[in-house]
Amino acid sequence: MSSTEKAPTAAATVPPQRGGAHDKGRGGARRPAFSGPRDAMERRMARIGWLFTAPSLVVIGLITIFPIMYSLVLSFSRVRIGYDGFVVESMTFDNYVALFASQDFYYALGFTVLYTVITVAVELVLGTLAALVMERLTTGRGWMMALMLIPWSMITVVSAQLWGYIYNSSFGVATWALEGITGSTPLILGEPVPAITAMMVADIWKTTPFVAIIVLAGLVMLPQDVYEAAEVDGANAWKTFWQVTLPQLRATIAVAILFRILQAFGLFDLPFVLTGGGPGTATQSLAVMGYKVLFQDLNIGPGAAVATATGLLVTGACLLFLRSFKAQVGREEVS
Amino acid sequence: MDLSRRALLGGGAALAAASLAGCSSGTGQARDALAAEIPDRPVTIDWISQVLADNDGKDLRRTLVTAFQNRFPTITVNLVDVPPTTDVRRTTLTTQIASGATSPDVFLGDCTWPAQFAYNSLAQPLGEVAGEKEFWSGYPDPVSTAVSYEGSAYAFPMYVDISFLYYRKDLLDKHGFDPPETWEQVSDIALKLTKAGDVRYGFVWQGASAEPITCNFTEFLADAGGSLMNEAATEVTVDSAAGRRAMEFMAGLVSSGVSPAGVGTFAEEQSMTAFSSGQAAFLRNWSYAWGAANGADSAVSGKVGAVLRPRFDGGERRGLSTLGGWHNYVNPHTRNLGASVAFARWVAQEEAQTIMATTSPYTPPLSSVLADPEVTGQDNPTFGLSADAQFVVRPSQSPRYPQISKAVYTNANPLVVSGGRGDTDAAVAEMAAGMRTAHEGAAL
Repeated sequence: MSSTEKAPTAAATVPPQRGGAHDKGRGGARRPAFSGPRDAMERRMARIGWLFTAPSLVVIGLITIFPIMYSLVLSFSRVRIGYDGFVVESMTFDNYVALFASQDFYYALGFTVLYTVITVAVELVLGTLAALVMERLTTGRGWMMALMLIPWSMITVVSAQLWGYIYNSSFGVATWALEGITGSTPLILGEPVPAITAMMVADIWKTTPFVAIIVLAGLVMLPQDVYEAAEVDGANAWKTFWQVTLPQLRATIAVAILFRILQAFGLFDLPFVLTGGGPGTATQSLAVMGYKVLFQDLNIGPGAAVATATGLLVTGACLLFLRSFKAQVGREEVS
Repeated sequence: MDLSRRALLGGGAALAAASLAGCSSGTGQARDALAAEIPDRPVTIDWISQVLADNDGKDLRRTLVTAFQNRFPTITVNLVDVPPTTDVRRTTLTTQIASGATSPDVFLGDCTWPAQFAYNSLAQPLGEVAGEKEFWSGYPDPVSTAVSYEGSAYAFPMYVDISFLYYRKDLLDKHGFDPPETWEQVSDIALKLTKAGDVRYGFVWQGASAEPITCNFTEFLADAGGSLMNEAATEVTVDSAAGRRAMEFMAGLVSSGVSPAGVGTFAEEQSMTAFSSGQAAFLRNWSYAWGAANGADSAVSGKVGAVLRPRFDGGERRGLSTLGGWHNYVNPHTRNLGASVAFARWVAQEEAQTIMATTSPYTPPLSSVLADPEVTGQDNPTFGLSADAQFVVRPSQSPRYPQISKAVYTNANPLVVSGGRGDTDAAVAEMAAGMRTAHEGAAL
């Protein structure tokens, strides 16, 4: 429970950090610390505030907090479906014992982490490159942005289906092209390594624009005077990029990474449509595994354990990331 | 702010625990399906089923519904379409029924679902098989075994899928071969035909890492005299000489060039495409493949023959087939139990089965209809052959069947994909270990 309790504290500190980074250009004015209601007026305002937020808090409680807790309780239960809903036979740790004894789980975890690291890294490099090019564009930037956003705006189920056609082992254009090059018919989605690679390509194609747009937004907000100073000091373009542009983009890139990690960890629709998690369990992410265990095998307790473990891992990863991000940006501000 | 989040989390946890406690108090009891009466007043029931095309390309379901409504004028059957794949269908049904939905009243489901659905109260028990001797004796034993769980039936049979060996009659005639009786002959002929340049692939079947390879492995295993589990699905028996022989044979098909490595990715559709586009000499597939191979868009239409599956050289049993098929289940929450049972039962009986067998490519499980000369005498030879098929039942008697099957396909598939590179003995041992863990309920 301790990690879940820490979550709000860490999350609550994010917005000021982001603000802080952007404030730098305006001379580093710091925000006033929020120290709570001090007089009657403020207390009244706070009460009204609660009143206004109450409906959304109730909704969040019902559709987010309650299901999460429900799933947590289920993960410690020996449970099956009865005529009147779930039948809890007893409370147990067996679901977690089975989970940690399952090779599939470690494979899915390893796959999800590897997939996340590789795709996010490639998307970051390609996205930043694209953003740098777009920033220099004098005409047609709007058009370019719109074009770039097409893959991102496409529903994943649809784009996954399209990639499925491209990789199809009988009539896929990628199969045809590879056949022309290598001379033998490749089974792109039929063997583990090609299937994983093919899925990464589909993901990178779709998500690079998202990273590019975020980085571009960061780029256009950078203050010009720093560049002028760098030019006066005789820095070349390469040096300017590494020592002026990139350090200033840190906060923006961090936000992009955070979003991408969260999304990539929840990887579901792409493997669900493209490979069904196969061949075998080669492209089975944690989310696909949770779905299969819960809804295909009707293994409710262990399925809830997969979901809970995944949730904790994502929370943990984000907390770690936020902490290092905070340390990084903090140091930037001081120096 | 911190306090409120904590309060929310705490409140959520308390509510979750309370609602679970509420769940566990009442387990509920199934109603007596066969005692339920058909109402005098008009009722409408929802039937979820995939589209079933008849020989003229029309919807067989509508023909059946019309005939049923003539017989039972107070009952209207409303057709509801389903998602395209078996697994998505199961997910839709399980979430819907588990939440207590009263619709669909009747649903067409796979023949491997009864134990899993029964265990999770997702299907209405439809009477003891032993107590309804008169009804169930009309079907082959494996069919009534497959629809039951702990003695009760959970579905009424609609149609069965039987696997056949389809072959290119024109090519076998050209080279003077008779239809093969053993797998060794299949391999020989396949290699000769590919060598002669008549076809690209010798023998195509389904080796995709999912249910298809479980079905194929179960059959080769039975050909070799073995089984995945004992009949009651209580004991794993795959780690045997037969298990290793079946596995070696499957991997050997690829390593010797009889089958392309692609079979490791083939489900029914891909193997069908390879055969009906004229690329393969032999195809193992279900009953429906006769129609598909002879359809208007098939390159081999009119050039195809079908036989029951061959045996191994020296093997005793021939014509073994994994039992496939689809059956009608009744939603335990239906408001129209009597009408729903009446419909599901009617589809399994003579009138409906005869309509189905004479107007569509679906094979009736009811023995009397399958023996009817009007049915066996049709153009489609699979009807005439079906009565001699010997069914092999997958261990779907276990509510953990999906996990058991997973232990089979995840261990069998890599050997096929790699063309036999790998340790067959180790793969069978690992398969058996995985199946045991799954059977004990300790596998994910």
